[in-house]
Amino acid sequence: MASFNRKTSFGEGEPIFLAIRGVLLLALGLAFAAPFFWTISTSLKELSETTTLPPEWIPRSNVYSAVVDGKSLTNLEVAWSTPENVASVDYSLPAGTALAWIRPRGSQTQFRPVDRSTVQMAGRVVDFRWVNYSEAVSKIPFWLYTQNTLWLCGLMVLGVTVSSAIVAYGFARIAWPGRDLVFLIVLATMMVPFPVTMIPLYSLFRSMGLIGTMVPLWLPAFFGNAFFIFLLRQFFKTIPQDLTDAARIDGCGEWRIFWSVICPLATSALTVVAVFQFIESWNDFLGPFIYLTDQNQFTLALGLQFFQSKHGGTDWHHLMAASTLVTLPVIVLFFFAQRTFIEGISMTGMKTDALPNREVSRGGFHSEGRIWECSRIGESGILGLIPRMGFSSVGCDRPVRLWLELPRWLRILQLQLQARVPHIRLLP
Amino acid sequence: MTIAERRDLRLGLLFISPWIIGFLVFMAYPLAASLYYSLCDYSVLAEPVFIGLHNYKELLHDAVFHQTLFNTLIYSAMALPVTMVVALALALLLHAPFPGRALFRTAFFLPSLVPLVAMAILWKWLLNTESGLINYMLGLLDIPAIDWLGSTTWSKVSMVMPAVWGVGGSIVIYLASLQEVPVHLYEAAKIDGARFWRQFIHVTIPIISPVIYFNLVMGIIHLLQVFVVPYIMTEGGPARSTLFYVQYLYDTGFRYLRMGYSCSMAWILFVIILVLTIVATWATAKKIYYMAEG
Repeated sequence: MASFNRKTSFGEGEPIFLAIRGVLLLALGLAFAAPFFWTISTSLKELSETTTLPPEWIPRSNVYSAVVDGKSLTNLEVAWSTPENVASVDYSLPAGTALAWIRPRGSQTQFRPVDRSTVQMAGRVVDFRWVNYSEAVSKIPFWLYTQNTLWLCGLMVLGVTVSSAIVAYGFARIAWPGRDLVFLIVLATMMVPFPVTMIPLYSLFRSMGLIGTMVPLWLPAFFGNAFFIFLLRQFFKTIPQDLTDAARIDGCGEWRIFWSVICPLATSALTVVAVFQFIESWNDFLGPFIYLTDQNQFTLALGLQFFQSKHGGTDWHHLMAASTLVTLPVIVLFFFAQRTFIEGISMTGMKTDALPNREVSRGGFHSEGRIWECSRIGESGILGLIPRMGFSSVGCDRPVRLWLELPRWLRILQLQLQARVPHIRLLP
Repeated sequence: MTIAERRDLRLGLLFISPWIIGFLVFMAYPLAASLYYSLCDYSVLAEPVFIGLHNYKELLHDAVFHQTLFNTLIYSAMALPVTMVVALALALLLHAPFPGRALFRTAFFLPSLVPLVAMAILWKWLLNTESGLINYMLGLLDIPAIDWLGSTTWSKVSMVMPAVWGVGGSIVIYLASLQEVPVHLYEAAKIDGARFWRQFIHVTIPIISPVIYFNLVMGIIHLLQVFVVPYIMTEGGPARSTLFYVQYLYDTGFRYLRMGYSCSMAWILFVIILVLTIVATWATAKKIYYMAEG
């Protein structure tokens, strides 16, 4: 049986192990985190600073001083070739003068030309160029793509969560003949590679005139997702049977039990599904790439790719700013979800006799002082909940074991075959 | 069948009916249609014309197809062991409690949340020959700059790196399985004088072997279908060295509108995945240990 007592665990207490672990974790942790810092660092640099050697982690830029009309100006930024945003030609400069263009550092005013020979570098200062973000956003219809993506994510989250929950209930809480066999088919569909069904789906949606719309992306979501059906089924199975039996005796129909007993108890699992579907839809590239043809309907992932194929290899600061903006919501969502999990579960995780009466009567469902397995799962938030829903031995029963334990069945088959036909060896 | 059983069957089917409809329309029909299209000349613009096994015969002689298949197998053969070892090693490091564990777990998990498009752009930048961070780091060790994305020698290695960076999902699954290892087994091993390495080999590995198998199979399925990251980083270049199976399949279907040919490639991919899964299953069957039910 699973043990949640972690006082003793693998490698514990061996000083060499602890030392090696510390060093490795620190080195690998830095290596895994470095790309994030590098993205943010690049996104805040001036374009010319993105390619300087050696690379700098903290964005800096040069500060210049120049002499204009006999007056010395300081704290300037300089463009060495004609910038887009330039004031009219300054006729006070003699014709043929080598020019540079200056403006006060950090301002958005027009550049003005000056005599290049008077420009001097005054030093380097830390310079976070937040303006890169607004520039990157204005290079593509960023807000339009954000709206499209949010709309799509919303529909898919709604569709997948509701339909998967309903289907999972049918697999978890109603015993009907042939159920386990059908559930095996659900599991098997997860093995089918998307490219196999990609083209018939495309031609199916094409015959319905839906190419270039978002319908092909969200419509299938309303018919359940195999992986989420699997997760929710595992979770629903852990809810004590006596709760639903009691409701049944009180005359509740299955739908009522699903809606007002099971769903409220499974909010954490349903949230996991919703969060992960949101992230999946937000990140999806191949789907929108195939079905969306009109640039006004692009999602952020598609827009980002469009942006990079147009400006790739040059405007790294804008690319990194756009990448950060596309990545950030997912990470923020993850952290928020992670926090609600810890809160929600630490509440249900208490023994019922420790719960204030109010909580018990509000929740209404508890069973002999213990609130089942999932309450302890939440210790590490989503990260703990997800795998335990699917992979813990707690919820594993026949069809799932059949699937996860394919090797064992093959081994048994082989042993049986060998017993009958001893000279055939199927395994090395 | 009793009345109660019939009622349960009706209710059960009613509850799973969304899935049944979805399965028929978005899985069963496309599978059948895909198999049929793979035997047809089909451009999506006109009705499919049955041509028998012609597409499959053509694949036998398609040099680009052979190269993409080769590329994909090489890439998977490199990425699979690396990602599996890194994920397991990190899970082991992150398992036992220590101050800041939650922070470290999050740090290793976060990359797997990054959208693939952003991940590809980021790695393209990190691997930039002149001003990339990776070459700079190598420069500190006196290693000359490597043309990661421009040379056929290194381009596939470059594709492995983002895969390793995004390994967070498997780490989480390993962590869950490590929690399942009964503590008394370690205690017993300790009493028998087993130290770190032997505990790992004789206790940890056997207990978590089903999960290792699961990650192996999932790894095979996912890596063979690699598409987004290489497509964005190199579009298959240089000299088609990062042109992978699914990208060629996509190009054939949606760029050259040879949908029938594309479907036949999809089916070959499906068969390859199935065969490799079965081989992996057979090969590991003897080594996988299952705790008694309960």
